[in-house]
Amino acid sequence: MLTLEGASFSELARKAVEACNHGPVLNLVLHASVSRDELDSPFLDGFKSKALKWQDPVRPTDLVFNHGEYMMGALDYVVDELRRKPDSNRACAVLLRTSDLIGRGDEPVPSFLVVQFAVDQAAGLLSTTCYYRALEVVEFLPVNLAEAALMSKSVLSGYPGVADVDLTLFAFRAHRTPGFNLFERASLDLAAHYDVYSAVVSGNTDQLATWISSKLVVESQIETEGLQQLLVAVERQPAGVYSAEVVENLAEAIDAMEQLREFRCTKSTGAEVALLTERVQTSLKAARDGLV
Amino acid sequence: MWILQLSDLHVPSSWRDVGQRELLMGQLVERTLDAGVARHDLAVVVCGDMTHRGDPDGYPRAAEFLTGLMSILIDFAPVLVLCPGNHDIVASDRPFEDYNRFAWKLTEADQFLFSGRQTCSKFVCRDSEFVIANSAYHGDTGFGRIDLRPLRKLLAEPPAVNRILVTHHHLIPCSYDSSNAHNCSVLRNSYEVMDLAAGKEVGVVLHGHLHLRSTMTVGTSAMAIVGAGSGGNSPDLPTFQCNLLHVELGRVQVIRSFYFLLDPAGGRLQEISN
Repeated sequence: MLTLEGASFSELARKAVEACNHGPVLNLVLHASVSRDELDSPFLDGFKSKALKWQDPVRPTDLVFNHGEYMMGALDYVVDELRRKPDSNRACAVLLRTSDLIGRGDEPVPSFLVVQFAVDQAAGLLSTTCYYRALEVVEFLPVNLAEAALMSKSVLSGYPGVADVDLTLFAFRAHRTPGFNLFERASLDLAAHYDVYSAVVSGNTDQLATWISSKLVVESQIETEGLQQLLVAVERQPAGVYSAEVVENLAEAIDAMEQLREFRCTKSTGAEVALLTERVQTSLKAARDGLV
Repeated sequence: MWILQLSDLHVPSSWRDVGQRELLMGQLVERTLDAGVARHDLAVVVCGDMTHRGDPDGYPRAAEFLTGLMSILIDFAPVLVLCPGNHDIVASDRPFEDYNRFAWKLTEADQFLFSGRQTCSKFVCRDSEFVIANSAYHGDTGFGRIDLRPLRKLLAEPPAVNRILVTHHHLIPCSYDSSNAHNCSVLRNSYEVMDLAAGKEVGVVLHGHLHLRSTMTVGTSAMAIVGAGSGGNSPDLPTFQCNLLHVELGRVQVIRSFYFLLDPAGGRLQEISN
């Protein structure tokens, strides 16, 4: 177990990354006592629109899932509950039940499980506590902090006299995975089949490069259909239109991604996962850079 | 402090490394060594326009480019200093959000994040301080302006040995191309900025925006104003230009300027004589 204190949300994020530099940390606790103004810091501003998408009650189409669809308006309940009973122990939102996990294998479900609030008006303090079954600290933690800020602001809207916020995050397994993709579907996977084929036939290498680059993130939910479409379209072109290097590297990337998907059924982290991830990244970059 | 000044990277979402990058970077390292730059004495300063025309998908590619550059220069243990430009205004309701995400991932430093609450900031590195002024803070892509109140406050603090002001827009109007609006997109309050900076021991102002290398001195303190050309990543901006400056005892002692034409046939980093 490791507890990290920060004077700001950005300091918490920085310390969490440093703590996970040598491997995952079990039972990581992040704590900050800040003024209400910190909820609008430039650091959190940078992640606000992503946090809003994650909090949206209607899942945006470019996310595999989001937290809002699981919270089901819980913040309204929290605000009402605290108004009804200021020292309530039930001012919380629970995103998952055990039945959401049983039999689901590695299907994507939130890591963010619970958030609870308490307001001490006499002390002018809001306490916000969040629990995560897993927490990626490079890409995801800043978004989660921005979400905690948004949720705290929602609760605070009814308490203009409350000036301070005490935030605590518990992460059962905190890990560092640069390039982790926040469950955002790559633009290649959102593109229509016809658009992909059309771009290949017309030699729109800028678009193809953009699409291939969109797959450079480390996906939790690995999708290969878009790359497979691209590969098939490229292979169908007359010889010489696209180099053998592009074809080989696209095929290599797809193969590595499929192996990674299978491997992840039994293990989320470790040297083998890192090696396969590296193979995917290298092949995709080589395919992209081979487009001229 | 040695400074490798780049600007106007304009990295598009379709960016890919077509091989010259390695050649260019290798030559940059040679020139840096040749100049006598010591370990822990180098700052890489990028004066804005990381992406092209507010394209948020340009940032991962810009991060890839800069990560590659910092990795090539790793023996010098450089620090990275970032400042946004007008092309980094992505959306009117959240102008620098994507830029802030990009800057955070590369530096994990609050000083390089900008919003309505932070339009100027200071980053201290050993005996030097970089005062960064977001000249696009007002959200208008058509011209530059610096928020003078926070700038005054930062410059009122006791200075480090070397005080360097970093911004995006040029300070002196230029009509090199009458077909575009660059002479109108100059920093609108440049007189106040130069007057303030020169009076508060700023030794050098670094900027970009014009895509032209330029060097001028202003005022009785001979404050240098140094502009860098473009980072050459956009297809319509194939020329890479950068400056290598040595700032010591508060003043610019050396400026070396380099130019590289990105050509599929290969290229060489050439020094421009001052």
